[in-house]
Amino acid sequence: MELGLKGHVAAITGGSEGIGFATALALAAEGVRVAICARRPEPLEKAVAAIRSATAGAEVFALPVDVAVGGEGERFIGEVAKRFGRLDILINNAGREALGVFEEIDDAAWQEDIDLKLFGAIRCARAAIPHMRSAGGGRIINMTHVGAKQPRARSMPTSVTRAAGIAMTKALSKELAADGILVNTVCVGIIQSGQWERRRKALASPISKEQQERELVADRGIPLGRIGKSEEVASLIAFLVSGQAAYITGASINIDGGLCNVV
Amino acid sequence: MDLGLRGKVVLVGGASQGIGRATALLFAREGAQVAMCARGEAGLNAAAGMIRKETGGEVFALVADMSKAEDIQMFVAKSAAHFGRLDIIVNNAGGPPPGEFMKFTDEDWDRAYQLSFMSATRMTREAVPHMRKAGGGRVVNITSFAVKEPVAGLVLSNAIRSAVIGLAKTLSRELAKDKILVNNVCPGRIHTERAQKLNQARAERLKRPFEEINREMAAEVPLGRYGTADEAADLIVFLASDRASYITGTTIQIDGGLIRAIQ
Repeated sequence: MELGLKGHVAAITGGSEGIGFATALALAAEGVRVAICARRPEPLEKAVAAIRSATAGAEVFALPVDVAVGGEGERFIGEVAKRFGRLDILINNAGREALGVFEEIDDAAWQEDIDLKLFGAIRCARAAIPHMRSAGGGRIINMTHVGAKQPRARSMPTSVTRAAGIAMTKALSKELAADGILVNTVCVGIIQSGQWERRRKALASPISKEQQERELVADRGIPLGRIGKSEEVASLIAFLVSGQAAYITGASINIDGGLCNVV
Repeated sequence: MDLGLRGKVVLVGGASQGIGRATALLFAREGAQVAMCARGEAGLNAAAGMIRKETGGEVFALVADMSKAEDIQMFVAKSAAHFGRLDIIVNNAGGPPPGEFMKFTDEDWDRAYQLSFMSATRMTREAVPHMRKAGGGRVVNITSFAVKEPVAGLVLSNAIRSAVIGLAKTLSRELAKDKILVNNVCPGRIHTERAQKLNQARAERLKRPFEEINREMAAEVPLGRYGTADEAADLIVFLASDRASYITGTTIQIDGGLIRAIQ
């Protein structure tokens, strides 16, 4: 399927690992000029090298940025537009799961989650929109989570912040449609990523990757019997930002192996 | 993007026009082996001929009425026998007629149930043994955005198509262990003959010019236009592809942003 993405410019937050990195790779393979940001420079450099090597020298731009900090997301978008002369696609992906017992979550923890996931997306979108208008249109993908559609006990602050992301996606899709800017959210289930690796390694008694997966599948009830791969999410994102998805906007699409119970 | 569809066998119902035909065409373009059916022989042969000419692909065409159990059984059995396997089914049948609740009789309801609900049930029941033999499969139900937001004047469609959503969600869980992924595509206003007929009926009912109704219906869509059958086909084919291997139990609208709800 020809995605019609050659020469487009994409900015991906949280792009040095996991879904962000896989998406950058998938888009670069389709001829997109990608820009990635993350907090730490070393993983970013590794990611850039990996993308260049996998795509025979694709154009990649990287900037160490913490989108949770005011002004930083805007700085990233500005630098991308300056470097590539345009911006067509924004993937708001930066974010980590933060789950706890409600009464133990203090204001600071709430603010941290909201700053990273919600404000990060808000600021990057606000900065990106004028560039997309100049380009005659664009695509914004907000990464959220199926937990936003079925919040469990002890799922906050993440479930709340992600639900806000779904609402924002819908409202933006309505507001920006006339500009040809399509906005969708991809709601992930459990996907293999750096954060799961870190969690596994941080356990007091170590378990294997396979055992972690088995436990997650059983605990969360994943019909397909496995956790998802970053590449699978990246394929959905690549499709959604392509010319073949020009009539899809305001959608919240689950990629979760059937995890989400709601229709 | 390589969709991994080369050589896969796909059955498309109601394939002589509109979204069904566009879907059959795109599958053939991606290298799949296509079996297509429709009620009218002339329309079916014209569509099959067009697809063979455009793609040079193997197309198997059978006259079959999606509202008849024996036709569905025959369509699935003969297609699977012809190709030696069956991987994907796209459940698509014409929609029930428009009209207000009080004018419909039990016979109208029964007809709608056979055409738009039992067709999906029967196609899937016939196909599952073949998919199990193939080690997995895909079921894509073409429904309507009305399942998320019922449309005035389409009570038969609103009620009966919604039943398909409940069926699909259940199947996505029951069949997950067989690696059979089940998803629904909900087209909004797509430019097809059926859509034109519905607008004509609307124009007659409201005693207003057809062109005016058409323009109004398009203007109500945030993207300002009807979608094309090809755009609907792109989403359907993506969902049936290897790239969508972690997506099951979803209900995805392709509606230019029309739906209001966040889900």
